[in-house]
Amino acid sequence: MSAAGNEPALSWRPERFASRALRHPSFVAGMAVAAVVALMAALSLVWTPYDPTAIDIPGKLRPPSLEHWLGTDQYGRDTLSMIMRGAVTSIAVSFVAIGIGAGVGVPLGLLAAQQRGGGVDQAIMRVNDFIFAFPALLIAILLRELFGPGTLNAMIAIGVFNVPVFARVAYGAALPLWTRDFVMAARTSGKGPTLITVEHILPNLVGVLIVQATIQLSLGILAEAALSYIGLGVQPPNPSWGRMLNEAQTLMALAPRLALIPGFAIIATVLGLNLLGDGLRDLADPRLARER
Amino acid sequence: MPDLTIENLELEIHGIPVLRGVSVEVRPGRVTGLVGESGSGKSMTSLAAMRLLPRGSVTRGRIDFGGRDLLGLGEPEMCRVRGREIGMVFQEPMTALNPLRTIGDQVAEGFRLHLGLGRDEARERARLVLERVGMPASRVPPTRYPHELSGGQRQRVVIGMAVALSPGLVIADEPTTALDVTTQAQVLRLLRDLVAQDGAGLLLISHDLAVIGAMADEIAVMRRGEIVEQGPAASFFRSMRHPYSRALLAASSHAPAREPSPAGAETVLDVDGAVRDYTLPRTRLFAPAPRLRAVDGVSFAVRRGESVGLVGESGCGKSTLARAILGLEPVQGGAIRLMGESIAGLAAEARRRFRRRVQIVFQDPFGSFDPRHTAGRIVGEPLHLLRGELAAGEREARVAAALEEVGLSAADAARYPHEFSGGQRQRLAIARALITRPDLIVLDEPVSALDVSIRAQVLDLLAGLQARMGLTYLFISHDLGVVRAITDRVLVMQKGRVVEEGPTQDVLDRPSHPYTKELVASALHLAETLADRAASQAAD
Amino acid sequence: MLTRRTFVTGSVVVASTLSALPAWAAARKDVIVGVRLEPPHLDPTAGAAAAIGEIVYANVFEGLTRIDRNAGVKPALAEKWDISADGKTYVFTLRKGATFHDGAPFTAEAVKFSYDRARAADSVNPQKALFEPIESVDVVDANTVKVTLKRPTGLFLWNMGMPAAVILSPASAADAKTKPIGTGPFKFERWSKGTSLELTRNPNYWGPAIKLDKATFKVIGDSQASFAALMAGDVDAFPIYPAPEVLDQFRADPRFKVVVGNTEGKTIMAMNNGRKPFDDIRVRRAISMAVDRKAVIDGAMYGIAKPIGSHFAPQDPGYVDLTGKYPYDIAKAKALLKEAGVAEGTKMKLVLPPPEYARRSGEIIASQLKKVGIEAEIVPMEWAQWLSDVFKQKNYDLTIISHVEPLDLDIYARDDYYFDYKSQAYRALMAELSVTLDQAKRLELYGKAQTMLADDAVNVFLFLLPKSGVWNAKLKGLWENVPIPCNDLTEVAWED
Repeated sequence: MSAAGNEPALSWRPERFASRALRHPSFVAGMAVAAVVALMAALSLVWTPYDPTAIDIPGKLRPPSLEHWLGTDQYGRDTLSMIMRGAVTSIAVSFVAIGIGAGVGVPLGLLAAQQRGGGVDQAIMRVNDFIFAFPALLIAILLRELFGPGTLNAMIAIGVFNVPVFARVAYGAALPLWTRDFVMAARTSGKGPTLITVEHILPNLVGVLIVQATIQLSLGILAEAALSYIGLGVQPPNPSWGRMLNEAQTLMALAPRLALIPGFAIIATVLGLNLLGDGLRDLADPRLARER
Repeated sequence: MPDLTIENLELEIHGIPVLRGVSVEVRPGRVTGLVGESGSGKSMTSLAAMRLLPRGSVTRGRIDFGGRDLLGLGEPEMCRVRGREIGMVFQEPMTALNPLRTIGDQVAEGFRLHLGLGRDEARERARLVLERVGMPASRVPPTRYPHELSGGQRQRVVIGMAVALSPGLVIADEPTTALDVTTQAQVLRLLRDLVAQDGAGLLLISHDLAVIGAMADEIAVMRRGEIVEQGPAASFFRSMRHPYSRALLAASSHAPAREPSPAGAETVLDVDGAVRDYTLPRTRLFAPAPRLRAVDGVSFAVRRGESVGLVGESGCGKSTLARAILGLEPVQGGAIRLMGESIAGLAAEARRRFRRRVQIVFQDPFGSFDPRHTAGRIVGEPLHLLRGELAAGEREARVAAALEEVGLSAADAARYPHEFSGGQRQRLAIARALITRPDLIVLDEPVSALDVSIRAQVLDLLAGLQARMGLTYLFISHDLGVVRAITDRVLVMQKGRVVEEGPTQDVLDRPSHPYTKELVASALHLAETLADRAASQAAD
Repeated sequence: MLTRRTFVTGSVVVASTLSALPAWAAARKDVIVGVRLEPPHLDPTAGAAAAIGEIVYANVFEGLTRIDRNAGVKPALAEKWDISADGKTYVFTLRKGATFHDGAPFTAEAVKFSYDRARAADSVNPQKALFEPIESVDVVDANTVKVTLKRPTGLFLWNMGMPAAVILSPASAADAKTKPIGTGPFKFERWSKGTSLELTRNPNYWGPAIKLDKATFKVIGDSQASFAALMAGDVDAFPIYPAPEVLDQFRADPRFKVVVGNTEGKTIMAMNNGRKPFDDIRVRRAISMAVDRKAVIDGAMYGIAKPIGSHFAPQDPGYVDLTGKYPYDIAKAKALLKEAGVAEGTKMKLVLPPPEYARRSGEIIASQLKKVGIEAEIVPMEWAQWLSDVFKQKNYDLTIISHVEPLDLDIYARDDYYFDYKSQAYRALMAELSVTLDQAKRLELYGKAQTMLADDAVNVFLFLLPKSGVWNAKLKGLWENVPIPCNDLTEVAWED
C-alpha cells in the first residue's frame, strides 16, 4: 500500500543517524580503526618519533624497546615512524584515487541515467565495462611504461580502476530515482534533466556513494600496498606499507616483525574500513535499520 | 473443523505495545472480518496467529486452535500447522509467489511437504486445485510462471496454495487491495465459496468496510491495537455503538458537499484524438520492434470549474494519458491543447508558460517528495516556472499561502516530508499543485493510498478548494465511490479508448456500455451492501 | 649419506629427516646451481649480461686461454704460445684432439673465425675493445695460429681468456644464442625459459675428466625463494647468493658452507661528469665526502664488502689504498657545495638498476645526501631502460652500478662513456699503459691511474662487490672468488 517498503537505500538523515550509528557494532569497530589510522596519519604530518626516512646503520634491526617502540628496520629507521607516515601515503593515494574515480565515474553514471534509453547510456556503460575489465595492476604497468613508476601513477591507476565502479553505482541507484513521482513533479515544474540531476538525483545518492567510497577506500589502500610491494607505487624513500612488506621479505627469518607490523597495519585498516562500509550500508538502508 | 479463539492477546515489539487485549473468534464455516485503518494492529493479529511476528516480539494471552495453544508450540510443530492446518493469503500476490518456479510446482509443494506425496501425484493434485480456483489446465497450464499471469490469476494461485490442503482456517490479509475492481469481486466470491465448501473458518482482514460488510459473518473493528467493537455482521451496522465504528462508517460513504459546475464556461483542456504508442522489446533480433498503443484516439474536453473523472482498470491507459496531458510524454497522433495551445513544438519560454497552467497530484504521498527537501522547497518547486517574475521574499509568501490554503501552517515549510502524516503529505502535494495557480490540476489516484477517514478529509479539501478558487480537476481513479463523490462528469476508459462518457450520476447509475456495466456491477458499494444485508436478514 | 629437507614456514624453520640412504651409496653425479638472473641468451660473444658467462663460461665454451679461480691466466684451447720480443706477435699452438659438441674438429680456422668475427665492423661483441689491438689473425697450419697486434698489449692473454673471447665453431656460431656449441666439458641440453637450464657431460672432452654427469642451473630471482630453495635442498649451491642478510643463518647451519670471496665488481656511484653541477670537481669531492662508505657497506651489504677508494680491486696487483682520500665529513662537504654554488635542497636524480646492492645502497646514500642538503630523487629502473637511458644516453645525475670486468681502468679513457670523464692526462696515462709490457712499470702506472681517478673524484667509489656463496658443505670445487663472472663446474664434485 505504501512505497516505504520499496524505498532504496537512500535515506540519510543526520538527526537519527548518529544515535543509530553508535549502536551498530561493525560501524563502531570500523570507525574506531579508521579514526586510529587517520589520527596516526595526521599526527605523523607534524610529529613522528623519528624522521621516518632517517637512516641509522649502526642502529639497524633493533628489537622493540622504549626508545623504538616497534624496533628499527634494516637501515635503522624507526618502524613506528614509518608506519605512521605510511598511513599518510596509503590514505593520500586512496583518497586521490577515489577523487578521480568518483569525480569521473559519478558524472558519467548520472549522465547515463539522465540519458537512459537513448543509446548514450548503453555506450557509456559499455565503455565502463571495458575499463572495468582492466585490473589496476595492468593500468599501473601501462603507466609505468609510459611515465615511470611513482605515487602519482599509482593514484591514477587505482583511480581509473575506480571510475567504472562509481559510474555503475551512480547509474544503478539513479535509474530507479528517475521513475519516482518527485522527479515527475520536478519535470512538471519545468526543470530540465541536468537541474533535476543536481537537485534531486545526486543528493539522494550521497548515502550510497559514501558507502561505496568507504569500500573503495579499503580497496584503494590494498591496491596501493600491492602496487608498492611490486615496486610500481610509492618510491623510496617515502614510506609505504606495501614497500615495507617487500623490503622485510628477505628478512623474514631474521626479523619477522618487520613484515608482520606493516602486514597487520594493512589488514587492520582494510578490515576496519570494510566494517565501516558495511555499517554505513546497514545504517543507510531503512529496511535493515528497522530490523535492528 | 477446529475453532480459532484468540483470547486477550497482548503483543509488544521491542517493548512498544502493539496489541492490547485482542479477543477474536473464527468458527468453522464462518467468516470473521477484521476492519481497521493502517496501524490498527489487524495484520499483527493475523501474523501472531501464524507465529510469523518480527524479531523482538513478546506475546501474552492465548491463541487456541483446535484445543492447542499456538503460542506454546515449538517452531517445528508450527511449521506443520502452517499451510497444513492454516492457510494464508497475502495482499501482494507477486511477492507471495516464487518468480522462478511454475505455479503448478508451487501449489504441489504443499502436497509433497505435508503429505509426502510423490512428484507426479502432487502435480495431479495441484492441477485439481488450480481447476478449483478457476484456472483449469486447458486455459492456464500449471507450467506457467507467475509473471505470465494477470494480477487476479496470481491471486487465485495464492488462494489455491492456501486452500490446497483443506486447512481448518484460512487467513486472508487484504486479499483484494492490489486488484482491479472487476477482479476484486471475483476473487472475493471465490474465497468465500472455497471456504464454505470446505467448512473452514476465514479470518478476513481489510481496511475496506464495504469488503468486510459484504463478506463477513462476524465483524470486529480495530483501532490502535484494540478491538473497539465487534458483533454479528447482520445487525452490526445498525447496532454499533462505538464512536469510532460510526466515524469509520461515515467516512467510508462520505461524499463532500459540492456545487454543480457552472455551465458554459470556457474550455480549459481539449484532447483531440490523442494517440500514444510505446515501442516494445524486439521479439527477434531483426524483427521490427512491436508497438503498444496505450492511448488510442481519445477525445474529450474539460471546461473551467469542472471536475471530470477518468476511470478504468490498471493498464487501461489513464495514467499514460495524464502524463501526455502534462507534457511529460509526446503523443504520436492527435493533439492536446491547454487554453487552445498545444505543448508540441513550443519554445522553452512558451513551454514554461504551458507548464504552469497544469499541475499534478500523485497517488503515493511519500514517493512524490524528495525526502531530502523541506516541505517549503517541495511546495515551492513549481515556482521554478515563474523564475524571474517573482520578487524577493515573494516566494516564501507564496509557499506560506499555499500551505495555509490546504490547512497546514506556514511553519510547516521547514519540516521534512517524513515528519508529516499520510494525510498531511497529500495536503502538501495539493499545495504544490496549487502554487502556480494552474488552470488544470490532474489528480492521479490522489486518495487511493489513504485511510478512509483521511480520504474523507482530503476529498472535503479538494471540494472546498474547487468551490473557493474555481479550480478545474481531471480526477483519475479506479474507485467508483470516490469518482461519484467528487466529479461532475466521468469518462470510462478501456484498452486505451474512452468507451463511455457522461454526467457521473447518469453513467454510474445507468451504464450503457457493457464494460461500464461490469465495472459498476463489480464495485462494492457500501450502501448497497448494507441494503442487501438488511434484505437477506428480512428474508430469514 | 643423509638427506635433509627443510620447510620454511614464516620464520620458523622446521627440519625433519625424511630419508637416510645407506652410507655406501655412490656419490651424486649431478648438481643444481641457483642463479639470480636468467641470461637473455647463451652467446657470451654477443651479449654483455654477466648471466651468460655464469652459465656457459668454462663449462660449455672455452677460449685459447682461461682465467682460473685465482685470477691467473692458464692455457686452455692453446697448449702453449710464443710471444715475439717486441710483444706484437703471438703464435698459439692449439690443443690437439679437441672437438666441438657437434663433432666438428677444433682447428686454427675456428680461432681465426671467432677473432675476426669479434673484431669485424658489424660485430656485436660486448668487449669489442679487447680485440681492437689485433692487426691480423693468420692460420699457420691446422694447429697453429699467429696473431699480430698493432701495438704491444699487456693484458692480451688475460683478455683472450674472457667470456667474450671464447672460440665458436664457424658451423654453429650463428645459433649460439639458443644452441650454444662449444668445446667445453659440458654440452648444452635444454633451456626451460624462466625456470632452468640443463648441461650434460661431454664424453669427448679433451681435458681432464669431470666428475659430474649433469648440471642444472635454476633461475631464482627472489631472495626469499632462494633462501627457501637452499634450505629445502632444492638447490645445492648458490655461488653468488643475493641476500647477505641471511648469511649468518647459513653459517650457523652445518649443512651449508658460506664463502665470502672477492669479485672484480667495483661498485661505484657514478656521477654524470659532463652535466652541471658534476662538472665541478668541488661538487664531486663534496659528494664523495658526504657518503659514509662504512654505513653503506654495513647497511646494504651487511658489512661483508671491502671498501674501495678508486676503480681498482684490492686483490689485484698494483692496488693502492685510497679509501682514506675523502673521509666522511658533512661539514666539509657542505662547505664545498656552498663554495661551488650548489644551493641547499638541490634536486638530483639517483637512478638505480634492479640489483639489490644498488637499490639498498641508493636508499642509504639518498638519506646521507639529504644531510648535506641534496635531495636525491630515487628512480628505480629495469635493466633495459637503464642501459638505454643511463648507459647510452647519459640521461642521469647519479647512478649506482658495479663494474665487474677486471682491470678495466681504461673505461675512464673512453670517449662518450657514461661518466663523461674527459681528462686528457688520464687518456695519456692509459695510452702509455697499453704499450707498457714491463710488469713493474705497469703496476706503477696502475697506481698512478688509481690516484688520478681518486683525485678527480670522478665517481664515488663505494665497495668491492662481495661474492657471498652458499652451498652444500659436501660440495667441493666451486670458486670462492669470482674474478670474472662465471660458475666453473669443471672441478666440482660431491664428497662421499
